[in-house]
Amino acid sequence: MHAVARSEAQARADDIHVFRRELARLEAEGVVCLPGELRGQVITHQDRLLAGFAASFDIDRSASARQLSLGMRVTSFLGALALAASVFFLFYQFWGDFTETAQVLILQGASLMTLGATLWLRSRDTSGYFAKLAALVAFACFVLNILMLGQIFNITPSDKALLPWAALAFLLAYTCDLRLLLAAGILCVIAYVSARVGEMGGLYWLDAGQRPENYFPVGALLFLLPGWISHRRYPGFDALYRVFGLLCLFVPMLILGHWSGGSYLNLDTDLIEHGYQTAGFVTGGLAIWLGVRRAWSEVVNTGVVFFVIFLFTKFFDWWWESWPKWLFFLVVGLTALLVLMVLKRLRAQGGQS
Amino acid sequence: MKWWKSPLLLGLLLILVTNGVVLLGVAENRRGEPESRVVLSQRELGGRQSWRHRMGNHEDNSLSLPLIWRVPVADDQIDAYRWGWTRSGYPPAWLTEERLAALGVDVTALKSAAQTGKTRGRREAADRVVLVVLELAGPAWQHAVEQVRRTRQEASGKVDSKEKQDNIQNAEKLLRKVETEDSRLYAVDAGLDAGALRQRYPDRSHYLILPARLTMWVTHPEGQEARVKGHFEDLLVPEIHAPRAVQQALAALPAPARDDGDDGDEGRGLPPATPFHATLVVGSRLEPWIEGISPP
Repeated sequence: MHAVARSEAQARADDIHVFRRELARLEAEGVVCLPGELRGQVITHQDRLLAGFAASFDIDRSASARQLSLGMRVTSFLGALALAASVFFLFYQFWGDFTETAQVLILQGASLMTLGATLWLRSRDTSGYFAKLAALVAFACFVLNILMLGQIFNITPSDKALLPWAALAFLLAYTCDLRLLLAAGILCVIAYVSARVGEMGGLYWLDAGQRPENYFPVGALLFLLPGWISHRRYPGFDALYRVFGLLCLFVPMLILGHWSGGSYLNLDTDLIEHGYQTAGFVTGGLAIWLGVRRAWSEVVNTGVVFFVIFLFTKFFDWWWESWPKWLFFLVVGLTALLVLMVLKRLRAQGGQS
Repeated sequence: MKWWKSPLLLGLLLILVTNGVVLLGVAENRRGEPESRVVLSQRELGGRQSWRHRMGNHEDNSLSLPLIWRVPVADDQIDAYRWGWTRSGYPPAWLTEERLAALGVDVTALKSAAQTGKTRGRREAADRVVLVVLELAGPAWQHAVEQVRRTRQEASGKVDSKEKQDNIQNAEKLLRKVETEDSRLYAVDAGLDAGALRQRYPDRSHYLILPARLTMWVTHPEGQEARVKGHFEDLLVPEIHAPRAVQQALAALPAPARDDGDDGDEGRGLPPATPFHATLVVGSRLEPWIEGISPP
């Protein structure tokens, strides 16, 4: 099964179904009426395409099949979690019974075998669910591999372990079209880059979170990455990079907007907090504007969510203590209405353009 | 498909190279003359957190022994021994502002931050990794025993009530604990350069040099000058993995008889630790391992 071809086939099949529904509506409304021969050619061609996709890629051919697919995805995810946990506890249950050499061989063997099983399943599993499940287990085995080598040989913990974990997560994510592993890989990169930036500022790598500004460089990097590397054949990957990039910008701003003690800046406490609150509003607004302009719905949604969070936390700071609660919530509700109206206007503008 | 585009080959390469790099690091650490080799006992490896108790976990039959070490305290903080506070996490008496400055802490900036309320210098308060020198059964431990013994003598000089009698009993119990049960490993110094520290403490069979996390904080009582304090959070490798051979040697040791085990906050309700001697070796990368176990 070729993961990318499968997603493209699914998208084409969806388009065919939409086309047929809309054509039926237009014919019922008397807007258009395809001649019988032309209609027959189109339907035959589409049927042949659908049959080919179904035979090669096990795509969803109807709405009910799509719903079942969602159930299969959830089951596959839960199964992968359970199998990964099973591997973890299996190792620990019998760990003391093996010599160090046997332990090393078992750890490496588990990583190699699960990787091999994933790629073998990928070539045979047209649905992709079993290959994705195996990919998650392979990643868990590799993480366990490095963690347990560290434990067996009392190795000083290091952020360098995050790099091979990220590399395998990306490899499996791009090979099996697996967004969950892409997220795991991105999280490893976030942890590594922020740890490196933190070390430059004199922090121990595990304490990178004590200085939220450490996450800004990796946030910008992740947000810009889809602009440099095309993910046209990997649906949803671009969005994931951008959402994680924005989270690495917004969450630190939100924290620093209320806790200046975490900042590197050599400025007055109030100045830092107010500065980050303002930066949060400005970045939120920019994200909404850019998202609407480029039709990046995930950027718009993330921007809106954080803009509203910044706004409400500010309201809370200003008025929670001094205003009656009914007035406070009334203002919050009215503000929500205002935001809705602005978004509606933006949506209308987007539709016209 | 070109070979470098094959996911299988890339994945295999990644797994093998990563494992290779890790194992080469282990080999490098254990190659040549060790940085130090000390003979510890159950007091320093596991303590009252008896390994027998730990091995009773049916979900995890691996075993790691915690390296237990203490810090010397000033004479007016002797109660810290009673409550088990002298383990890592308590400020050592010798870790003064001058010593913190020598460890690269910007003490002036920290004080300034506390006094002005600005964030300036707060990053200096973040944890940092330093090398701590652990002394085995040396002057620091003897000094601790002396401190507790003095308390016992002071208590015995004024017996005139039930409360005083209790104080004497507690002091005797504490003395017995510090003399015969507690870890004899004491943090006596810290630095940033392993070579310089080893020159200062050349006895490799009594002084361990290990990386630890140093935490700082500022106290600024009303109307007084701000003071910077620090303590060692823990070693970067706080527990030493026991390989199968070590586990088997430990299992072959005779179990001790139960006692009442009243030893303050530490190890309450646990069986007494089985006595043993363990050779702990620290390699060139300052990563330790247990070389062998023997009866005391």
